[in-house]
Amino acid sequence: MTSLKLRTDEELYRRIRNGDQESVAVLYERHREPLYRYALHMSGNRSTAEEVTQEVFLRLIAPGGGFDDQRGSLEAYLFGIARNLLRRMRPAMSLEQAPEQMAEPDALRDLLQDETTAALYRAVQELPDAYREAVVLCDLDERSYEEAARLMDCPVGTVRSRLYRARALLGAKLRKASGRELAREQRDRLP
Amino acid sequence: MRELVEQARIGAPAGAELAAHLAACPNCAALWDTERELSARFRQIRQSVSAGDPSAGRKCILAQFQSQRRRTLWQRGFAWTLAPVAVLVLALVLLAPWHHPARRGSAVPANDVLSLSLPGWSGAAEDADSPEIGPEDSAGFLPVPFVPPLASGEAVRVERVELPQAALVCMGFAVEGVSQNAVTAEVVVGEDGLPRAVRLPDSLDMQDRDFYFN
Repeated sequence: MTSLKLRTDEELYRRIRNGDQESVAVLYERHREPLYRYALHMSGNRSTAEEVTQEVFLRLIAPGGGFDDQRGSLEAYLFGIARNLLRRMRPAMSLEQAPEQMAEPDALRDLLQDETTAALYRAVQELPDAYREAVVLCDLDERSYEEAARLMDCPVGTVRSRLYRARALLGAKLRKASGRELAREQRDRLP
Repeated sequence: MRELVEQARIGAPAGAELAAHLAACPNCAALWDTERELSARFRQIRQSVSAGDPSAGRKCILAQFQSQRRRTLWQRGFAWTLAPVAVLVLALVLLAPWHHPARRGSAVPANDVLSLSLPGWSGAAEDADSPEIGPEDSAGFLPVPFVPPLASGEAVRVERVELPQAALVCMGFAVEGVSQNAVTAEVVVGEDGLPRAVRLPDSLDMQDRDFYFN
């Protein structure tokens, strides 16, 4: 197991194709959390994130999996599966979820006590997919532009500009939210 | 502007030059503050996220992998077992005598070539659909005696074969000077494989084309 942890994703994938179960476990350990975080922040929904993470691995181990190491890294392939699953699930989620659930992503509802941070998180959920993905990978998952570009399958410059625009949109919302909070605090202080 | 955002994003402190600019430019100062705040709040969100216990998910994935692996192995084993059997069956089918189009003549409806029924054969008279055709109106074919008549619509084929002259005699041909030499003849064969009529090419030196019945 220890020696397997030193192996690259692509080597582990080849071992999986030959029926090595331990390689599945190592790849799962390695990529589960990043995939979960990505799916969580992209969907704003914990159960969706869990479902997507699980489904990504099920597709990875399915017979005749479509990964080709000539076309990119395994990590990018896994994120690509997650992205497609999320896109496919999004219309269904919109139909199934009640309007209040859509407006209030459940992901961090309990954890984000700060109203401004919660508002910011909602604003992230409302960003267009491409902008949201840049924020999720670079700001919420702390990946470099190069890593994000590899996972998003686009040039580094595109990631930079998407992130810049996304942050401009979020900054405007943050200022608005901070202003409301400030006004509320001032109102509360009044006798 | 982007450099400013970038520095604020990574949480780097403002250098002396930037600090001097921020002091002089309220717009950039506001942007700097906003970006710093955004980064701080993103940090807060990051810390709030936990991926939970991986054991249940891992167990499920590994169980699925095992079951798929078993299924694949079983399918592979089954395929290896089945392959020789399939080859054997295919060989039997292809080599079976009834599956040799090359050995068969061209199958044609009996009516296209001729419909034969032999006078005196019990089945022939009863079969109204099988017209009796004499030697002269059957494209030169002479009926072979002692074989059942063709059924109505029965497909026949015409095969060119080498026959010993003695066989022609057995079939009722009067051949002068029978030798061991074979002659080429065209034989009408019914669906049951029995010859129904024979035609001799004109080149054969025949004394008499009449046939008779025993």
